[in-house]
Amino acid sequence: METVLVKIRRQDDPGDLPYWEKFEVERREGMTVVGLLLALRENPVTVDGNRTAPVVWESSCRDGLCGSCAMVINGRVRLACHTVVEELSEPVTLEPLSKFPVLRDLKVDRARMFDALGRILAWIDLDGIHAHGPALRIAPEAATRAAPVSACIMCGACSEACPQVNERSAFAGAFLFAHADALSAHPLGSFGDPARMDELLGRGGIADCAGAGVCSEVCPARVPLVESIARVEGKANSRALKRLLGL
Amino acid sequence: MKRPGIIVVGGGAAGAMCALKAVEAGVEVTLFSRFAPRRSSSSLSQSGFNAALDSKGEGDSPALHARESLVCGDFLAFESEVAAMCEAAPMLAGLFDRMGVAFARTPEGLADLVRLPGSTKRRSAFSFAGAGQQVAAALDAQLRRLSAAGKIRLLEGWEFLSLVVDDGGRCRGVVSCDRSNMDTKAFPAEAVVVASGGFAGLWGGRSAKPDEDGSALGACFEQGAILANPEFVQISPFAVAGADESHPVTALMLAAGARAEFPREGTPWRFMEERFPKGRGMVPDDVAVRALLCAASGAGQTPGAQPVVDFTDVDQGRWGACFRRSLDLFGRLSFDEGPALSFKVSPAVVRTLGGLKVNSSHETSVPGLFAAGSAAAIYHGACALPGNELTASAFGGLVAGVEAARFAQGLEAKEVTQSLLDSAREREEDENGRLAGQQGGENAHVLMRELSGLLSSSAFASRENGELSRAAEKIEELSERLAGCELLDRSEWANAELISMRAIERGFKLARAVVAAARSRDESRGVHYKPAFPKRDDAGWRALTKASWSDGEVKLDFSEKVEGKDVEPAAREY
Repeated sequence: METVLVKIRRQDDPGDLPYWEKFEVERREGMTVVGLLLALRENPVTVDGNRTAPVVWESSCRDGLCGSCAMVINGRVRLACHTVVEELSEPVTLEPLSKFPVLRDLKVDRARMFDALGRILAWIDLDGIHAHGPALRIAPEAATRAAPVSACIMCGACSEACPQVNERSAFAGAFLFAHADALSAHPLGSFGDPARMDELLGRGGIADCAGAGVCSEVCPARVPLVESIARVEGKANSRALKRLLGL
Repeated sequence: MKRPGIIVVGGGAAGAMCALKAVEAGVEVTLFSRFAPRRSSSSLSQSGFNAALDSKGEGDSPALHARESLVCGDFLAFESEVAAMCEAAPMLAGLFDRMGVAFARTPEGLADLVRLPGSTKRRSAFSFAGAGQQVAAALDAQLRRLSAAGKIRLLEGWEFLSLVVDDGGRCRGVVSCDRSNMDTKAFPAEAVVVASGGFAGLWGGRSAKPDEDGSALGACFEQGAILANPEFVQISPFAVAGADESHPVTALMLAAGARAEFPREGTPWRFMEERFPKGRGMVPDDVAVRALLCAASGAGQTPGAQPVVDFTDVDQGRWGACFRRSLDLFGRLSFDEGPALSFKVSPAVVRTLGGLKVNSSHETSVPGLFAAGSAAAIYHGACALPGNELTASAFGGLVAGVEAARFAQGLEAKEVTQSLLDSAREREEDENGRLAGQQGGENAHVLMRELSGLLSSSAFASRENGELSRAAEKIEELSERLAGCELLDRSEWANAELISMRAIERGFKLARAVVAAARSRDESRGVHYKPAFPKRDDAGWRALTKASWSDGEVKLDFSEKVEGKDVEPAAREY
């Protein structure tokens, strides 16, 4: 039986210290990191022969769409479901995202991301869930621009990679700009632009982005974050100017 | 007295729509979700949102949409309910447009439409960012808007354990468990809507949705709710297999020009187009699966020949960015040398079509309990029309929201007694205690994998009574071994093992219903294909399968006939 050596950074609860455990898992063709973790549940025994609690991690869709299985794999943030073990060097190391509180083992609490979206009012203020008037028209060009920036899966990879996201900063990550950008491209979403830009001009907003650009590189949903940042920055600056001129 | 309002279990397209509509109707709403609502399985319905918008001037109409849905469902769905869904679909598409779903546009700025397999018209509004993911995200944003305004209680990270049912058999709330601190609590409600998804995860490796473990559904089944059509599943004919999961080639990819073929010397054999010239090879999943199995074993075929799906005809300029992540993964899972845009495929279960039996108001057989989305069996019959999945979930959620609110408001305010809540909670705590005390050295995940293997061989694309009977016996055996499963995690914090073990026990009960129903239904309909009974038998079997759980056994009832007035059963021609 050919095996894969896996090193996992574990933590029993948010207050505990982390520790490492090593496992050997049977290697199968086409196995993803999620497959590896699933196999581990069937026999949670370390290389030293100690029986241990199965590793806790999050995974829902296993198709790269839900964003819950983002973790640090061999030092780089990736989705466990879309990472094929054959392509990784050994030992395969798995660590939780470091920019979020660890709940247990590889499972983290991403509430901070959703709180940040709440602060910029990242939604359309619908009047009601009912039929309403003629169909909306959106210029094809605006729709083409909106599609890739709407693809964010809230996995936290951009936050993980960003040097500006740290304990001393209120900045949650570049995903914020993708959401603001997508809303701006929508006729009803743009109604919220002034309030949203005001928020993004404040703490944890556009000024916190240092333009490192690593977010675009690591985004598993391939959201063109750098483009969104530039557009949102332009919008925010013109909002600041208008405020200055009392417009 | 403040009225408790309604509880919605699940935050996907169905649960979220239900919650939004019920808030509007003026009841208190508490929504429980295992994870952030946007991470639900609705995001997997990537192909599109079916609505007869007819923006292409092809003469599409809600009536035609309904007819094609009923034909695709092999005449097992209820006509008036499907007609109501198709009638409402254009309104829902407009609603999602206003909510910010990034639909692709026509040059005139309207939502663009694509023709998906099984439809004769361009009827599916789609998104280059994935329709399902877009709908799930837009609904998640609306839930958060209401939550920020204090209009809804959003409880994320909670696991549904069971219903609170009073002595009169009425559903009065739920028992739920916080997945982090493992706090188990009973919550009162005037009505409960289960929108927790299906149970395709039981088919294991052949499925893409492990979170669809049927845990909440199984709990309702165990507590007396009738399950309908458990033997019907949606099998995607073309999925690229990894070691543990399959990744379906979506209906949208086929619409964009991806083609199934058998590699041959010279020109490949495009068997789908040859067999279905009228639909240009784009037919419903069940029809495609049968054609595929037929072609794979046909004359002149090398044994074990595996088809591929070829993407070279897909316009890269238009679709490249949309499919890039999928194609990238397909490529990394296909190790043998072959053309870069051609991938070996095989059939895989992608969703279940059975669920709780509901009437047109989405009420289940338990008073006060409603169901919607994949948790309810209502709009798809024996095979879902590609693109109808999201439409059915959104519409079902809407109806369930209105009806559950009406049910709650029509009740005389009657307090749920504390003793009823306490005893419901204690029962679940005892259950957790029982699992923690089990001994015997078995591993629940290993048994689950064996169960998945049994379902994938006996209740798959071709079904045989002898094999189903043997599978039923084997499941009994495995069920007994479940009692010897040890809880591998003793922690009182984020104990995912305890939650999985509970889900697995329920999954076994659902699996018993699947196999029993498949064994009994001696005909072929939708994906339920029995070579020994190769024809659809409308006189004998145009009936709902109703499964109930009593005294540890599955009881089946086929007495409820499905009838229609406008669409008569006929041969399905594509």
